[in-house]
Amino acid sequence: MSPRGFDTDGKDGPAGSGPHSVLIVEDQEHTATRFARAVEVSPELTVCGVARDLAHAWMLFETHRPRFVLTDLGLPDGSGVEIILAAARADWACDCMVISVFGDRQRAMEAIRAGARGYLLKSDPVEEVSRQILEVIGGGSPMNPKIARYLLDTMGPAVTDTTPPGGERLTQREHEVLSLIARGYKRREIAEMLNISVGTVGIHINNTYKKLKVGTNIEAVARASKIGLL
Amino acid sequence: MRRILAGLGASALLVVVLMGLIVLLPDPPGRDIDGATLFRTAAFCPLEGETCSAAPEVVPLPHRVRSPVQEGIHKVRFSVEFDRFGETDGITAIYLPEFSDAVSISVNGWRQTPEPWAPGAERAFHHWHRPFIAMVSNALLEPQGNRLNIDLAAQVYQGISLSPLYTGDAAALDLAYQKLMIVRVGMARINLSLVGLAGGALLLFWLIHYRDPAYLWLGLASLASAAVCYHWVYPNVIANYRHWITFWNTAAALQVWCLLSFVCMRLHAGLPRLRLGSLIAIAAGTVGLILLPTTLFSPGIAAYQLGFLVLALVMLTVLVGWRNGTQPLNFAVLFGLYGLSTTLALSQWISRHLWFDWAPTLLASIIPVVFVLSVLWVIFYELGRSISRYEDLTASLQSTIDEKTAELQMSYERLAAQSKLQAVDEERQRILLDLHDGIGGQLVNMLAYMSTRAGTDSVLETAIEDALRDMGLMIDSLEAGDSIATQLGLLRGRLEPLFKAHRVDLVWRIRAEPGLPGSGPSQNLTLLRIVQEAITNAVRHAQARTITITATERSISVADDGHGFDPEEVGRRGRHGIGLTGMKRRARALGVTLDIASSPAGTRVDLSWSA
Repeated sequence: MSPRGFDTDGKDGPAGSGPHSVLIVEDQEHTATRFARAVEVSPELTVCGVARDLAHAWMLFETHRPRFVLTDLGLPDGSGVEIILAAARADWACDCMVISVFGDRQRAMEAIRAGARGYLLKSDPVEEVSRQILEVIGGGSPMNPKIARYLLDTMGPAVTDTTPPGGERLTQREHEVLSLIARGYKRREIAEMLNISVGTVGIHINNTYKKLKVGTNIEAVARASKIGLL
Repeated sequence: MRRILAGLGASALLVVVLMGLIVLLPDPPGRDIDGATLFRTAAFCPLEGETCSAAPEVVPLPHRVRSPVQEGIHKVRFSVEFDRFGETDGITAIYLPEFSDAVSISVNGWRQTPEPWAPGAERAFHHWHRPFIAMVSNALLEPQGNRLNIDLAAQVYQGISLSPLYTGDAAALDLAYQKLMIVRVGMARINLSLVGLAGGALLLFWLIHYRDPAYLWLGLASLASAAVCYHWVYPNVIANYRHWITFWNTAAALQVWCLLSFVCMRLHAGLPRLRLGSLIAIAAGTVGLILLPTTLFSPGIAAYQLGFLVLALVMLTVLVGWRNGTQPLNFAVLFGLYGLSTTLALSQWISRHLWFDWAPTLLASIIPVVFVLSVLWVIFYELGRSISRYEDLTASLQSTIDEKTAELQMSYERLAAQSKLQAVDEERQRILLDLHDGIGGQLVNMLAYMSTRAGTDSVLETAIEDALRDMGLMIDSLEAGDSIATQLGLLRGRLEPLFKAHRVDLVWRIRAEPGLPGSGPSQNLTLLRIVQEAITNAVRHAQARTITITATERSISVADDGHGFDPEEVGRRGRHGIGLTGMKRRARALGVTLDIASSPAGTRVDLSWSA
């Protein structure tokens, strides 16, 4: 069935030459197969390995030095977050996305804070998978309503004239963009509504990601104030 | 400046009014006593040695004379003729209720009492506030026409006066004498002990407790007043007449100065230069009195006393000018009492130095009484204020405690509620994860498997997809919390493959955050299920090309350009009927209005609610 023998040692060169190598970490066999096929749809991407557990994933990660890692979080021998952290520390360019059934909020956000650039739903169409992977490799950040809502909740209201300038607060425009994404609008629609280019929308989204990483302690504060400790 | 003028005006007005009252006060008329003869007139002559230096003239009593000499002692004689009371074995009394300043009497040429002015005894007599009684044996008296000489003497500084006098029944007159003695001297003693005690108490207050300078000054004023009263209770403490007069005038001046300081402190007026300047003036005046030649002593005393009377007027001015520093009642009482004291002192000064025969001398003895009243007032007033402040403090403390207790109680309850919520939340997360990784993962895996196989059952595939979508909806309703707009956005993302598969264009118009009143996760889930059902119906059964989804605060609508259906017919045939029936039932349960309008040009499903 599989177009290539991706469950073996890959033969890709180092990242940057030829198609981008993608490592898939997913314990459900058929789901893994489907994602592998979806990745291979694009000629710019190639699957360098599929791991069913963390141990196997480590081995493939070190061997192939993939340009991209697509990982499930709940693995038989641990959490996919560890792979995400390793990718963030890797001495070569390596981006990560999470594979999720529904994109459950708590773990997805944990993964994003660890360095993942969002998540793919297992039900996403095949062409959508490769498109999003390429977008991340190109420097973009996928965003969906759930993450946008989370960012809006944790990073609070937009900076106004009265608030002191700070790295971890959203600007007025970023807040607008996130609010629209949270309501389900696509980037193209947002660009039209705000009269800006699709690229500019992408820049705003990238910036909010950066701010999220800057302010990892924001969530602690937000949570504390929610339960009334502050 | 204005407040000083106002204060001066008010003080002067008060003094003038009180002075008017004093002027109008008549001398107390002699009261008849049974068995006694009242003399309202007497023959009067100045004395030169033991004999009249001028022809006697008859004068009405009371009669007052100013000393005509500049130095030494000034003596006069009043004479009356009186009858013996009773037989030869009885006693006849001679009773002088009021006179000034020292007395010695002789009857029929025989001296009956010693002469206080005997040579060598240079001293103050100041008997002016005591009555005098002498008992004469009837054996020495004629039945009628006995001659009584009343010799009165005074130092230069004092005046001479005699009020109506009595002779007659010794028992009755002695009783009258005793009563008056108690009132006059007794009052002076009571005043002395009261001001002494008040002064001590105020100084103790100041030392132990408050360190409020107002108490210090009022205490010192009381002690100065005690020195003045002492002069009326124990005569001749200092043998030298001039020193004694200087001493008690200085005490009186210091009393006024301490009162001024008290007023300045109590009303927060400050005025340190005024106070220091007046204190220096008092000291200089006292030194001056000591150094003055004897001939100038009397005008010196007059000037000195005028000085501290002016200081008293200054004190009244400050009291009025800074009256906002205290309660109106406290101001009124203090102003009244101090004003009265000043007026009494002023009237004494006038009758002593200006118009001799002007005001009754005895009025001066009221000054300490008024002062004692003022001190008592201050003590009780401050005590009352302390008590009310203490009660206010207690009340506010109590209310603070109640408040804090309620706050504590509330935060305990909040904490309890929080930990309960947290437990519920954790449990929900666990169930979500189970659903997610377990059932959800399995279903997705199954779909992936089916997609790799040719000829799998499309009905089964659709059912699994629907189940997954419904699970997604459930998870969203729990995770996206209260935002229906976000859940709509997530729904859009999940339905994207369906739209792609059926080549449907979507027009997305989520203009506002829909606010379903009283909604929680389960209400939102129900609402989203209706919306999802409407969308999937439009995609699957109506062959729509474009679907428009619109949301406002009060409504969500799904409109398509498909071929539509007849709701009645569909209801009967039942194929999509299950979906429509379910939508209606859910809308009813939510209390949301569901309108379905369908025509061959398209279908429109409207959900709306009121605020």
